[in-house]
Amino acid sequence: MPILILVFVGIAFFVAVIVLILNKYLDLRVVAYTADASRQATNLIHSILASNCTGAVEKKLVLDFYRLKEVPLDECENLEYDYNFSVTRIGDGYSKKIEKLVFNFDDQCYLSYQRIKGYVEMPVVLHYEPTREEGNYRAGIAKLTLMKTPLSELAFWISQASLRIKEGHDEEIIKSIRVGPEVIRIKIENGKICMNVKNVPNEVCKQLFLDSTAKVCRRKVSVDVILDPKFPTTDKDFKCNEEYDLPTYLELDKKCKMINIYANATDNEVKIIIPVSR
Amino acid sequence: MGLTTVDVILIVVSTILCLITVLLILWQAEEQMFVFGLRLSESVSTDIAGLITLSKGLAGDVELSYRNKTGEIDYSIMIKDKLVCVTATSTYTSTDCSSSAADITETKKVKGSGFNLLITKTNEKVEVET
Repeated sequence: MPILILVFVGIAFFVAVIVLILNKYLDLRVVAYTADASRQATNLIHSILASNCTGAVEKKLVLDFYRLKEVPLDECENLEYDYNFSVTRIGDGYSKKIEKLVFNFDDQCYLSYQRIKGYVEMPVVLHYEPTREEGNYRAGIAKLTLMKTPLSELAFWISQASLRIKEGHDEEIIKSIRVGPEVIRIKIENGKICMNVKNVPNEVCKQLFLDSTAKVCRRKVSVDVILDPKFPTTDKDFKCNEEYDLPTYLELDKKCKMINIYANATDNEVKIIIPVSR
Repeated sequence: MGLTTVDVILIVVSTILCLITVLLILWQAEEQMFVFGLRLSESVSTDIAGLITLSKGLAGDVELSYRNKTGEIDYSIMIKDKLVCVTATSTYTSTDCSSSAADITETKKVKGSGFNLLITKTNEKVEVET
């Protein structure tokens, strides 16, 4: 009998160790984020296709293949995610693509819940210039892959911090964003945040949505200093870009970086500080 | 062979310890679920942002309605530009934001345990009313 009791106690202790100490609980973030990304992908592909739609044939959306926008679809831009979008002609496989997922998610820098994809495909009908006669329609597949990237996470959290602090949801926000070693440079200019990525010829940018009183400031400090409650947020070593007419450059070295966003409501102004740990 | 007094004491103490351990595990699991997993603020903000995006993609004028009549959870919702931020207060309080693909140029706020949000698209302009 004592042995049986000891076995029960041992099992309970073992389970407690696994759950409480080793933290091997099912990471529900993976489940929740995957569901959210899939839902967002479905809604976003509806928005992209509708903005390029020229009509409907047999209850399918008709896209003008040659006029399909080859520049980023700004009116369908999603702040939280970046995406790859393609329309492929069935038969010869000819396709048009918009690719904004330029980051290397195989790098160990990114955690499991940061590699979540939302993916959706939809059949479409494509038509060609110059006429819309019968016979000028071809079947195609539209595909959308949605992911959170370092660029979208930074743009989203900077914009979100501005709104949440201003409206009184939070007194302060501290958020760390992982940025992989392929990101060479980060720039904030004219209300946009841009990144230069290794092996990608053009910089990739995202619009910021900031309150009119918000300042985006930068300073190179270590992470420990930022998390200290006595960290001087009014320190004049911060360089703030109030009117976004001066670029704020952050040069990064070749490691996995933690970009820390710190927002604090002071004197009815929102100050967002982006330091780089070295 | 019967149970001795020591055996009985051992059984009772062991059972109580086991039950306390199980309770601690359940409380920790509940906290993890509401803080890291199924955050009410996250699901509501994603639903609303997704509906705003969907309304932009639908052809013609459209009305979409999002209702939440819980009675036990207090919500504070803020919609501005492309951001939908929700604070949900129940056993735990959490705030999350999601983004839509359509700009809502006026700030919209709603507070309360139940709400009805009306998303209207007219001539490519998307509006949200409470």
